[in-house]
Amino acid sequence: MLTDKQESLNSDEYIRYSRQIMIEQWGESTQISLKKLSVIIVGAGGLGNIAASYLVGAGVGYVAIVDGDEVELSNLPRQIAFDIDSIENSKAYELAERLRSQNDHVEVVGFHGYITADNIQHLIPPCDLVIDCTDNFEIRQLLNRHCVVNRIPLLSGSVTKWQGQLLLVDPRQPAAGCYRCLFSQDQASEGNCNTIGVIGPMVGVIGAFQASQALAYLTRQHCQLSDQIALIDGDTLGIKLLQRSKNAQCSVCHTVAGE
Amino acid sequence: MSSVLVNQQQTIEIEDGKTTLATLVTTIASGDDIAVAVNNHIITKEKWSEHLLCDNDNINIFGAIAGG
Repeated sequence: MLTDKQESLNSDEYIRYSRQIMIEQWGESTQISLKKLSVIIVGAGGLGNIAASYLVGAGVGYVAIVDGDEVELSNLPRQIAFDIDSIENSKAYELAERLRSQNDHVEVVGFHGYITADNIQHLIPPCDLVIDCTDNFEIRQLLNRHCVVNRIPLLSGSVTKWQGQLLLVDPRQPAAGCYRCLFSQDQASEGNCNTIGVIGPMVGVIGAFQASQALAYLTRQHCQLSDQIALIDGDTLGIKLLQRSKNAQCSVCHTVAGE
Repeated sequence: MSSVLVNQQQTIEIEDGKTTLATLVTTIASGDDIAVAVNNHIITKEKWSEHLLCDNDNINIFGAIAGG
């Protein structure tokens, strides 16, 4: 995980991050604090490409990328960190290498492998934020349970066709519930990019929202998604924010409350 | 007659203060894999059968999506 970081910015970092440091609510202190934070991004596909690039660019101290997929030709329209030479290579390793060349002030680590119930404790250790960029319900529910039980903030993003969804499972806001409070464990296996398709730019939109909300949460300990879900329609340019609440029958929240 | 607006598209007649959210969902949606909001507040599933709808309520019904 994160090695010791300096309590100041060097001249290169000052120049690199100058456009966000100049924002009044950000400043030098926020930039330094960002260097001490660690984020784990699960899924190195379209969402993970974009979210990781902006977080590494912004100067988050440690970013881990977890994915068991290899790059395929059909990924290239929207997974913009990859090119034709990436095909058949590990997405996690390819993306991590790209990110290291983007910003060598950030520690970037790639893990090639899928999250399972057996390895999740090892692959998702305590950190400041987990970002869910995966493409199936099983891993989404697994990540949700792990993060709720271990009180790790989880920023979930998903996209198909022209639609996207975003929510943050925030341990500081237990009354807002978790991913399982909204969506049952037995979701149908359909509903991802492989089965019903996706418009490439929508992946960029949702991934960029994930990155911006991650930065908001990491620097302010709160963001709009802490107790809401955002439904985003790229076709109509509609964004709907809906207030979330805990489901009294949620097995995940019930487990934590019963501890 | 009273009515609610579903997903900004569909107007459904209800009995003001008598029709439950569970009844509405059963009428217009299939499967358990959906979430429902009334006037921008998610109503969790265990409350659907006790939540009474009112005239002009704004309903959002949506399912989870998983693509990444």
